[in-house]
Amino acid sequence: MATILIIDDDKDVCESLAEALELFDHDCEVAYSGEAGIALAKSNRYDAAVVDFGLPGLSGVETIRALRVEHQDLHCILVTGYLSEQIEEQGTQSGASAIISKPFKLATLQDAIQAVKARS
Amino acid sequence: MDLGTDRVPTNTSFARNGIWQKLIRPNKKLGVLIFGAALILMTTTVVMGLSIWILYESAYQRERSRLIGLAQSQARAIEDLARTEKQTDEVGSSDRTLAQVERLHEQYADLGGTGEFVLATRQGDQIVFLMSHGRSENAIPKPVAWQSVMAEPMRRALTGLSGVVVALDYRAVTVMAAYKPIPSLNSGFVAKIDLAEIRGPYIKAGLVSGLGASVIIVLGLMLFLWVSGPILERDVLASSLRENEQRFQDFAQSASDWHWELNPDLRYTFVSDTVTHITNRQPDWYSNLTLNDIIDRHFDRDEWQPFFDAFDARCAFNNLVVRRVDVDGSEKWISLNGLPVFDAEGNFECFRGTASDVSEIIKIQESLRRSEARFRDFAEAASDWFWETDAGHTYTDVSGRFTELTGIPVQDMIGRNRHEILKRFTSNLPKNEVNPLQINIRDMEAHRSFRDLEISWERENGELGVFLVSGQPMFDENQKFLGYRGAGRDITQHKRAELELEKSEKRYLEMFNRAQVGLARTRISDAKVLEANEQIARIYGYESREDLLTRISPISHWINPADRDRVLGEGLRSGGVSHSEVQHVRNDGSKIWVRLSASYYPELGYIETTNVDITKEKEVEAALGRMNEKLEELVAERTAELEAAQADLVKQERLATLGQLTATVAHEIRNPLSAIVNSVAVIKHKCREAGIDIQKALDRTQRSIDRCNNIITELLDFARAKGHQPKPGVLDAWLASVLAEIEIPDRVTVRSNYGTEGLVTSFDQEELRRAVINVVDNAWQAMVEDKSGESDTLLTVSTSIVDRSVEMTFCDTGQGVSADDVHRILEPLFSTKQFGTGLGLPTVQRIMERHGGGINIVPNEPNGACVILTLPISDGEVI
Repeated sequence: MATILIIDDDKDVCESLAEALELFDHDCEVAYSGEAGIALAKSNRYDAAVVDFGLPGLSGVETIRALRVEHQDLHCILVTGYLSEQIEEQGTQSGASAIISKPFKLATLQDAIQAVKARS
Repeated sequence: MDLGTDRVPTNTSFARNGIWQKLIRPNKKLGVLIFGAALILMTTTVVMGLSIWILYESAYQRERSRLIGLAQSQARAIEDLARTEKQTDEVGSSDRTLAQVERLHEQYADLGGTGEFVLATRQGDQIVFLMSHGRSENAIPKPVAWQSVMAEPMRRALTGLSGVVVALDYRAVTVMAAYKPIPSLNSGFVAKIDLAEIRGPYIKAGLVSGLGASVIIVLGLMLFLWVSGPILERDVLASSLRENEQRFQDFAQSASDWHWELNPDLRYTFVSDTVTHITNRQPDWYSNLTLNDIIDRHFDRDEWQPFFDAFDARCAFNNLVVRRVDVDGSEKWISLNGLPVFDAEGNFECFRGTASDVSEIIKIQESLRRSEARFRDFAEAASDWFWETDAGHTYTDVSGRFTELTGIPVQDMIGRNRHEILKRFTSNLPKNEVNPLQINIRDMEAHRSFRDLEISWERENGELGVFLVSGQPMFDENQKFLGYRGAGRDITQHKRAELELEKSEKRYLEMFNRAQVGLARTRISDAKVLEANEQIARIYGYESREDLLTRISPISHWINPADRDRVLGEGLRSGGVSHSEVQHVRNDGSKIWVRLSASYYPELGYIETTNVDITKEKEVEAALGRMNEKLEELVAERTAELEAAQADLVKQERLATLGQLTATVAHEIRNPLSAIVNSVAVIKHKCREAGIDIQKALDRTQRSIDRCNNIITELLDFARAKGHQPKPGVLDAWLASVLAEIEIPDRVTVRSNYGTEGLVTSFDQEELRRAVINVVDNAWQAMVEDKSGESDTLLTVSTSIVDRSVEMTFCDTGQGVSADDVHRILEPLFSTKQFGTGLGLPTVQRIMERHGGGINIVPNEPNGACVILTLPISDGEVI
């Protein structure tokens, strides 16, 4: 079980993902922007954050970078609908623990969460 | 006196005025007398001659008869005697007969002066005379040759003939002879007489009677003339007077003049008939009129004053011309001559004279005066001046135009001698200049004509003028020299223009000779070069222009006669040729290119050409042409490259745009897909918990989501615009790892055959991986989708090095690619698969092209297809 912060501007994505992760007994909170996510992270502790690449305002990469500055033990998973080398490189540089292309299988995300938890 | 103008028709023949008539007329009577006398004499002579001839003919016939009788009787007698003597005693009978005949003939004394009997025989070729009787010498003639023309009568007698003939006797004298043969004596007998003896009396009688008759006739005529002479002379004189009168009457009638006679009272006493033809009045009409009556009717009395003066002074007058106006208003001019006639005592009897119609002459004179005036006006108005000198070369007339041209008053010329003029007006000329006038003096002294003599003449204002002067000598009917007439023309302006033209021509010639282009003038008729400059000589390889003019044959310099015909034809049609480029041959045989321009002057008969040697220009042009061709090839090549690059750029740009679009679309679609995937997972979990069996539906949903995601992935791969990042790698090993990574169904057998033997070359591994995956996926999908199920499902992967490239070949045993599809299979969105996007192979092609390689699809025997990916081996790579 883990506490997971889901940051995505698409509410359906956020809710469906939170609902699906709860099937794996994870506690999920959602934020619809980078800034909102950062604010939640300040007041709460999360095991992992699933951050969408294309966020309004602070981008996904910038959000991860900010979260990682404040919460070095927070594992961030960058998800994107268009995975390219450039995005992969940016995500890695920002401190993302894993980069997953949308639409991902729930098992893939679960594996990633397990992996980062194991690393921590 | 009434006067007229009609002429009287003449009836006088030319013969009557002939020389022969003049000669014969005074001796006409004498001639008649002589002719009569001659006629009488001739008649008398004929009559006498005829009479004498008749008498002679009678005597001749009589003598002929006599000779015949004598010859017959004598011959018969001799024949009888001979026959008798022969009967008596044959021996010596001939001699006896001859002796008796001689005796008998002695009885015939009357044979006439030349009468003769001759007896002869033929002995061989001779006529031998036996006896001759009658002639005074009475000797026996000498023998005559048988062939001789003499003794013709005897020859006939000896040949047995008898008759009469006029022929030559043995003496060669013409005789009348009767001949007879005497057979018994074998001889012939001839009785003859000289023809002259027969004729002699008659000739004498004719001569005597003719002479006598002539004398008598002449004497008679002389007597006649002596008696009738005075009578004849009077007749001749009267006849001559009549003829003269008739002649003068004829003259008067036929003359254009008429004659008149006025008595002291000025009354007409005679008017000749010819006046009728002029006034339609008979001469009698004038008999009751005086001269004053006529003057009042038809004339202006003042014009007659000279006549009255002469009449009163009793002196002659000549050529008084008066104007006669007829009743119908028509005018005639009459010329009058007259003289007084006095009797033997010196008393004035009358005035006689002639009058003639001179209207035509007056009209002609008037016309001449007008013509002269007209010509004088022309002369004055003409640009030329006219002059006239007398026999001493002194000017008698100079037209006013002279003053206008020279400023010299005409009065200064008139009365002056030519020498004076020459001295006055040419004294200021340069000493060394020989004035043509001085030369011309010789011509004028010799009275020869001269034409267009060019002289310089100082004008009155000191300015020098140039003039052309012509002159023609005048002679009277006796060829006596009268002077000169001529004309002069001011050509100063013309001369100046000529000098300017000469200067211009000189300048032109200098330019011509110094021109840097070849110039020539060629005669059209025979192509002879008339003029040329040095440059054209250099162009055609002659030593100099003189050398060219001497030796050139323009036709020989044309390589192609058709070119010459074309240039000539075009020039003659249009008057010239401009910048025609032709190839000629030089004097040394080398070929040159010439730019030819020509102007044609057919009226002058020549062509002027400019020739520019453009051989070097042509060579440069040819070189430029070759370079241009190369340049064009290069440009075409570069253009093709540029076009390819541009096309590539366009393609890249398009793909970049497509990539960006695809990335956005992918992101936007993948978000809802992601929500769907998550929701499906939740639904699946909830259903499982609730025991609801919708697994198949959920699986179908999941597959559809996967397909959508694959489409997005392929689109992203095709349009991916990431940078090409080749890195060295061992190709065979890399390919094996990629193949191992690909999920290939178990029923597909994969066989690999790597032939690059550890080749290390540069390639973008990620891109090439995508390419290999696409090719392999296509291959196994083609085999798996093959519904036949009979074909082998074998995928053969091999590598090899061909021409500095690596070929990766993927052969399947699927249904293959049809011939129609093989050209389209690389087109985006073309797919033969049920759910294909049609982007797999185009993505492969794009990736391979980015590597500088390519893709090739060929059939695999016996079935299936082979996809060959070509990857160039980068320089410096080590195998």
